[in-house]
Amino acid sequence: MNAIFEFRSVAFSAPPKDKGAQPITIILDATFELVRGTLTVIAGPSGAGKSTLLRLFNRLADPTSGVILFEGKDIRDFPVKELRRRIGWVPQVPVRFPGTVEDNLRLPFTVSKAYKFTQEEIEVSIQELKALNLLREELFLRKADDLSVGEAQRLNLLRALALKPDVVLLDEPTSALDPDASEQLLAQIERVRSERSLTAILVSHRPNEVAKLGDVVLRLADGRVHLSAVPPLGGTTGGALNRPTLGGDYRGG
Amino acid sequence: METELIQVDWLNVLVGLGLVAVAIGLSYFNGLGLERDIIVGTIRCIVQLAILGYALVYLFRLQCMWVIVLILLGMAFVAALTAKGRMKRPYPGTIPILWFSIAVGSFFALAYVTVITMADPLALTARYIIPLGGMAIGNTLNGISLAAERFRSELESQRDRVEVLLSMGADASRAAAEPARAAVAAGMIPTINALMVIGLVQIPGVMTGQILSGADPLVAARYQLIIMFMLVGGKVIALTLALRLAVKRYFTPEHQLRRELL
Repeated sequence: MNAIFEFRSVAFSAPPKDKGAQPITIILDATFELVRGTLTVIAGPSGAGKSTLLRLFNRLADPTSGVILFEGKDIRDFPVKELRRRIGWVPQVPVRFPGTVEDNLRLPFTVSKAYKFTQEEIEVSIQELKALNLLREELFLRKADDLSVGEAQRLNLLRALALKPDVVLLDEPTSALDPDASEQLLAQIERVRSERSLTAILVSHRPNEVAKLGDVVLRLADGRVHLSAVPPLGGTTGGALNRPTLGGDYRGG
Repeated sequence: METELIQVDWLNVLVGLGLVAVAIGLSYFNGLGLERDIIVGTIRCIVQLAILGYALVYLFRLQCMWVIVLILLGMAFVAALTAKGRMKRPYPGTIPILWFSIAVGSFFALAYVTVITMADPLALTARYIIPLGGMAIGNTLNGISLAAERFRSELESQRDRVEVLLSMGADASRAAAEPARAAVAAGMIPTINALMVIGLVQIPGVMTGQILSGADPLVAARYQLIIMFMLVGGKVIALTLALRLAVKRYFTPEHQLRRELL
């Protein structure tokens, strides 16, 4: 089996903000497998826990119960920093650090003392990121704060790709963009994904996006995850499905 | 040079109350509604300082260093309680962390001043240690709740940045470095401002006290300087320590931000 991620009866309750309050159950049961090299879309209404589900993949949060396997091994058995190095994360609201775009892209190489990148290696990686053509070359020396929202979103994607992860997690990357810009960004994500043979997991609340993009859709409703196939309209990696449709036949619309 | 000193006795204090009476009268006739607070405040002031005065007379006779240390630890504990009370959202274990940090920072600064700066056996007596320690602790208290509160609010407003850093493989202390820097700066600002403007507007407290009790103004100035340096050093140690320990509260051992505490 070529599953890169496997969730077994995963549940998540958020600890309460106030003392004495009850934890808030967000995910009741998530059981599914994701195949390496595919694009999975996490869909569902806002507030359904899509972002929360995404955060479990790189252990920004841990499930309350259940097991998550990465390459067949419990993700808790990986040193957390090593796991995160292999999984890029793009937050919903683009994050910019002080300095230029290039400074932002150098950051991943220096955040951990465990990373022993030479200056040459970093420069080569930066050149490779430039070659992905997500951002125009002249933007690389501009202050990150001067980028438009769409450009900042691409910067976040590039930064998440800097350490050459196997997996990239994208939290509603198009939520702040107009339809044209969204379409363009999604096409770019698709291109980069196949160029780098990445496994991608993308949160979306836009049904038409969901229908067009994913090899697999995880539909989150009432705390449960329903796995469903997307009819091969423009599916990129056909035959990626490894499971029969469980529930819902979500096609959007 | 022997300066003639005015000995203030309780009768002088009673006469001094006349000005409080003026304040109460003005409040009453102008409908300020402050009479009650002024009266309560004045009574508390009298009781607290009288007790302090008598207590110090007794404390200064103390010879045993352990008892003096115990008293300072007690003062640091009260400071930790007060600092926690000023925080909007204390984290679990706030008191032990603040207590430990205030104690370590103040003790270090105090030890430096008495043993190294003054380098006089007389400095190691209760008469010096308790007032100096009290100043160090009190000054730290003012900064530590500011810093702790600022740290939380920075973690909250920079939450995405912090989590992006974690997601790239940074450990908790690296991810929290910028919020911690902002927090220490916020806590230090009042003390740094005090360094900047000291002596421009008013004669600082210690110097005033020494001058009134007959000291040469230059000696008083040197005393004030030693104390200012002690306050700066003690505070920065305490704040840094408190934030390092707070990182362990706001993050799990697996380098996850505990959002519920923000």
